[in-house]
Amino acid sequence: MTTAVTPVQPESRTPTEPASVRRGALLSLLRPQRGRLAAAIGCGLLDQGFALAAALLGAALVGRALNGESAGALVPGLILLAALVLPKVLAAWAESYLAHDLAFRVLAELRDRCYRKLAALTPGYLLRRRSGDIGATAMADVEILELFFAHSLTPLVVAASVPPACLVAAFWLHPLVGAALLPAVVAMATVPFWLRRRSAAQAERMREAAGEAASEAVDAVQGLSETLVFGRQEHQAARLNAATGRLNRASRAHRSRGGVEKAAGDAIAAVGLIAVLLVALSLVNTGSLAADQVVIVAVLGGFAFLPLMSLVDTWRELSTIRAAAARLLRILDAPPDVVEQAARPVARIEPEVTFDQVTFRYGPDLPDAVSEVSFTIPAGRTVALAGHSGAGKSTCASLLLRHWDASAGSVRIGGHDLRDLPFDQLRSTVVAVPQDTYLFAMSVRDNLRLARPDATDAEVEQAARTACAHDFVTALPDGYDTLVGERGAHLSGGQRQRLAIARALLTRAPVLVLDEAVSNLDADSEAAIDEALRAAGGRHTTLVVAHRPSTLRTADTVVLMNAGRVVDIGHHDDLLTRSPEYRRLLAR
Amino acid sequence: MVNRTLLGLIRPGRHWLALAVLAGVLVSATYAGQSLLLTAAVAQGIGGDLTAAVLAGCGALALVAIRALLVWAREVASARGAEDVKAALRDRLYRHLLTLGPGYVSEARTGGVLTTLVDSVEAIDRYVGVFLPQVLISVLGGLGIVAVLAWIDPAVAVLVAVTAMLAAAAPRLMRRRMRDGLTAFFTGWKGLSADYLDAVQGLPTLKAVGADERFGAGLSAKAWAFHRDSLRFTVVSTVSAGFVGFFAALGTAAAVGLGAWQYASGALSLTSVFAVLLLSREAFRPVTDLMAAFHAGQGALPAAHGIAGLLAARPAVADTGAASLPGTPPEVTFEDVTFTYPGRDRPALDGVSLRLAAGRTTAVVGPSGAGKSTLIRLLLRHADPTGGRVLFDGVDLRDVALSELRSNVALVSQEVYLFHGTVADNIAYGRAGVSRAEIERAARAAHAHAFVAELPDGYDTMIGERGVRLSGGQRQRLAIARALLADAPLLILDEATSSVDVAAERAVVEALERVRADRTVLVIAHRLSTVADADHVVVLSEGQVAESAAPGELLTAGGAYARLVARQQEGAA
Repeated sequence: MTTAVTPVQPESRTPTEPASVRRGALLSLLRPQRGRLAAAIGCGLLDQGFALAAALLGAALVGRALNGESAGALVPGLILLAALVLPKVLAAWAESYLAHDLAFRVLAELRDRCYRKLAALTPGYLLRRRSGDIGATAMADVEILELFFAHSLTPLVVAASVPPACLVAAFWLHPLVGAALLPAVVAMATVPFWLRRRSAAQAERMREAAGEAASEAVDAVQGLSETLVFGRQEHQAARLNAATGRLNRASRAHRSRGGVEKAAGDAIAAVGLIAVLLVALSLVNTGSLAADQVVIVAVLGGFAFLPLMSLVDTWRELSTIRAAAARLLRILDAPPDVVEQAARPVARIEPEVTFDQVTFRYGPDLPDAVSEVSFTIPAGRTVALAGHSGAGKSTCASLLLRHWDASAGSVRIGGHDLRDLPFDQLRSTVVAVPQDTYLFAMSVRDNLRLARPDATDAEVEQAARTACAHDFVTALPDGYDTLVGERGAHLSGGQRQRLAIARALLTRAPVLVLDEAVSNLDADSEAAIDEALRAAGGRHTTLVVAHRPSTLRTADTVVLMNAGRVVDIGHHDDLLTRSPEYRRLLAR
Repeated sequence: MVNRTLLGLIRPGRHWLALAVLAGVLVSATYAGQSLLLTAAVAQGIGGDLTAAVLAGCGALALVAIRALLVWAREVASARGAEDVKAALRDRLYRHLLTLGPGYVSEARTGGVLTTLVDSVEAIDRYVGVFLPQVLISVLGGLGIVAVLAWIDPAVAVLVAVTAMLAAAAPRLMRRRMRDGLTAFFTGWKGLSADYLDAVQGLPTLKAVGADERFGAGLSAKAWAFHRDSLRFTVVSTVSAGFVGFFAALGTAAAVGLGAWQYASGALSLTSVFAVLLLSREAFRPVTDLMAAFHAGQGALPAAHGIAGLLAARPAVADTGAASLPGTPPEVTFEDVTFTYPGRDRPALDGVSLRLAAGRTTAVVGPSGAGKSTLIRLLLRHADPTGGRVLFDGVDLRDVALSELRSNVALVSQEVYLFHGTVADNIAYGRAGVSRAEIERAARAAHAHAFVAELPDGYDTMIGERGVRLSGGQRQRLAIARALLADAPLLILDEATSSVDVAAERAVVEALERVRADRTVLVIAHRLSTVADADHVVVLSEGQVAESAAPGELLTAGGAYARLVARQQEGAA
C-alpha cells in the first residue's frame, strides 16, 4: 500500500515552527497599500478632529451663553456647529471605506500567497496536516486578519494622537486640569497589556478547543453512515457535545477576561472625567479657572478617552488575531521539500528514465525508505514496481515526480537530473495518475481539461475513449457536461479512475506514472484500460506501481523491491521461475 | 433586523440572556445617574459649595464601581446565553442530520453541511449574545433617558427623541440593499471556502497534471471577486452606519445648541444646560450601541439561512414503521425493485428481483455502474424504491422502525471511515460497552490483531484523521472487526477487498469466512476471489439481473459470470 510508505508519525517531520508571529510579515503586506493606509489614517484623524472641534465649539457656545450673551449672538456659532457634522460623517465614512478596501485587498493577496505556497509544499506538507485544517487557515484565519487591517491600524494612530492632543489642551487650560487627566489616560492605554499573558494563553486554548470541536464535527458528519449502522447516535452526539462544552469553557474564560477589560476601560474613563471635573470645579472656586471653561474641561475629559476605548475594544481581539496570523505564517514560512533550481528549459528530452543509486529518507531520524535503487526505463517501455507494503514502490514514483529530492544518487530523464529541469518542463514531461483520484466539483469535461485547457472537444473525447471512459460518460444525464459531485461522489470508483487516466493522457506528457491506478476496476474495464494503455504505450514511457498479476505480466520489466532495495529485475515470467520471493508475493 | 429563525433558537439561553438585558438596562441607568450627579456637582461647584460637589462626585464614583461590575456581568451573561443557545443548536442540528441520513450529506456536499454545523452555529454567537439583548436594552434605555430629559427640558427631549428615532430608522431604509449585500458577501464566502477546500484536497492531483498554476489563477480571480463583494457590502453597511452617526452627531449638536440658546434666552437654568449637555450624549448611546451590536452580529443572518435550510430538510425516507424483527438471520427479498436517482432519467435499478437466503452468503457482481451500490442503499433505507418492495423476512422495510433495521444490519463498506480515537475505540464502535477481551477477540477473528500489536501503542494507538495512517487493508480489517462486534444478523460487505493488495486480500478473505457463519451475508464485489465460495451469485448488468444461480452452475452455464471469471483468471495468469 502506498499509504504505508508515509511516515508513521507525520508530525515528527515538522520542523520547529516559530511560535511567535513575525510582526514584520504582516506589516510587509501593507507596503503596496501605503497610499490607502495613509489616506485612511488621514480620514480617521479628520473624523476625530471634526468631532472634537464640534464638541469644543458646542462647549464654547454653552460657555458664551453662561457669560450672558444673547441668544441671537449664538446663531452663527450654532450654524457652524451644524455644518461641522457633515464633514465629520463623511470623514468617518471615507475612513471606513478606505480601511476596508485596503484590508480586503490584503486578504485577497494573502489567500493567493497561501495557495501558491501550499502548491509549492504539495504533497509533502499535506501529508502532515489535515486538509480541513489547511482550508480553515486559508479562509477563516485570513478573514480574522480583517480585524487587524481594517479595524486596528487607524484606531491605533487616532488613539496615539487624539488623547495627547486633549492632554495638551487640558494642560494649556490649566496645568492642574492636565495633571488630573493624565493618570487616567495613561492607565487606559495600559489596559490591553494588563492581562496580556493570560489573554495569549486563553486564545491558544480557545484555538485548540475550536480545532478539536471542528474535527469532532468532521468525524460526526463524515462518519454519519457508520454511526447510523452501528446505532451509536447517542455516543456520537455526546462526543460532539463534550467538544462543544470544552470550547465553551475555554471561551468563557476568554470572555470573562474581556468583560474585565471592558469594565476597567469604562470605569477608568468615568473616573478620569469625574476627577478632572472636580479639579476644574475647585479651580473655579479658587478663581484660577473661569466658570465657562468647566464645560470645555468636560468635553476634553470625554474625548480623551473615546479613541482609547475603541482601541481597547479592538485590541481585546488582538490575541485572536495573533493566533490566526501565527497559523497562517506557519504555512507561509514552511520550507518547501523541493526548490526550482534551473531557470532555462532543456532543449529536447529523450523520455528515458534512469534511477541511479537512489537513496531517500523522509526525515533525518527515519530509516531509508529506498536505498541504492537503480533501474532504467527505456523510452516507450513499461516498468512495473512490485513488492509488499512499505517496500518503497510509491516512494520511487514520488521521486520520479520530484515530490522529494533523493538524499543520494539521482533520478534522470533523458540523461538530465530532475533537479536540472525547470518545474514547468518537468511537469510537461512526467504526469501521474495518483492513487487517490480527485475530481473537482465541476463538469466532466472541465475536469478532464484541467490537464490541458486548450484541448478541443474531440481531443477530450479521444482521451476518454482511450481510457474506456467515453461510454459511461455519454450515458450520464448531460454527457460531458454532467457535474461530478464532491470528490466525484456520483461516480463509482472505477469510473473516477478512468477519468483520471483520461486526464493524464490528455497532457501528452511522454512519461506516465501509474500508482495503483487500476485497483478499483472490475476485470472487464481493467483489461480494456490495460489494452488502451498498451496501445498508447508506444508513445509513453511508463512506471507502474502494481499489485495485480495482470499488470505485472504485461509490463516489459518488473522491478522487485523489498525493504527499500531492488531485489531482482526481469520479465514477469523469468521472475516467476527464478524468484521464490516473487512467487510468494503473488501467492503462488 | 430581528430574524425569526434566530429568535426561535434562543430558548435554551433565555435565562442568561434575560440577565444580560437586565444588566444592560441597569448600565444605562448608571450612565444617566452619573450624568445627573455630575450635573449636580458642577452646579454646586460653580455655585461655590465644593463639599457638595465632591459628595456628588463620590456618588458618581460609586455608580462607576457598580457599573464596572454590571458591564462585566453583562458580558459574561451574554456569553453564557449564547453558549447555551449554540450548544443546543449544534446538538439539534446533528440529531436532525442523523434523521436525514448519509444520503443528504453526500447530496449537500460534506463541506456545506460542516459549514452549517460549525461555522454557522459559531456565527450566531454575537447576534444572540450581543445584538438581541441590545435591542431591548436600547429601547428601554433610550426611553428612560429621553424621559429624564423630558423632565429637565421637554423641547430638547423632543429634539433628541426625533433624531434618535431617525438614526435608528435610517438603516431600515437601506434594509434591502443591506440584505442583498450581506447575502452576496456570504455566498461569496461560502463559495470561496468550498473552492479552497477543493483546491487544497485536490492539490496533489493538480500538481500531477501540471494544472496547479492555472487553477491558482482561477482561485485568485475568485478571491478578488470576493474582495469586490466584501467591499460592496462594506459600502452599504458603512453608509448605513454613517446615517446613524450623522443623526447622532446632529442630534447631540442640536441638543447642545438648543440648550445654550434656551439658556441665553432665559428659558433654562444653568444646571439644566449642563444636564442637557451630558445627557444628550447618553441619549444616543443606545442607538450607536445598537448599530455596533448589529455590525458585530450581522454574520448570523446568512448563517440563519443555512441553519433554517438544514432544519427544514426532510428525510428521504419516513421513519413511520413499527414492526420489529426477530434478530435471527433474515431472508431478504427484493421484489421487482426499481430505483431512479433524482435528476437522472435512467433507473439505476430496473425491475430487480432477488433473494438473499437466510443464513447464506449471496454475492452480487457486475461492472461499475451496474447498480450494486444502489442495492445497498435501498437495503439500508438511505432511500426507498421508486417501484417494488424490499422485504425483510416478509416485512416491507418501510414498515420497520429505522433503529430496528439498523440494529439488524452491519456494514463493511468500500470506504471505511475510522473515527479519531484509539484502535480499540474504533473496533468497539460496533457495540457499546464491550470489554477489551472482546475487542481483541474480534480483532483476531478479523486478522487484525497481528498488525495492531505492532502499532506504537497497540490497541491504544490513535488513528483516524488526526492519528496514524493505516493502509487500506488494515482499515478494512478493523472495519470487519467492528462489524463482527456489532453481531448483526445481516452483514453487508461492500467491495470490502477493493483497495487491498494480494497478500492482504488473502487475510481479509480468510477473516470474512469466519464472519459469514450464522449470518445472512450480502457481498458486493469486483474481484471474484471473494465470490467463489458464496452460496449464490447474482450478476447485475445495467440495473437488471442478468444471471442468478450458484457459482458452480453459472460457471458451467457459460454466461456473463463465466466470462468475468475467465477474464480475471486470464489477468492473473
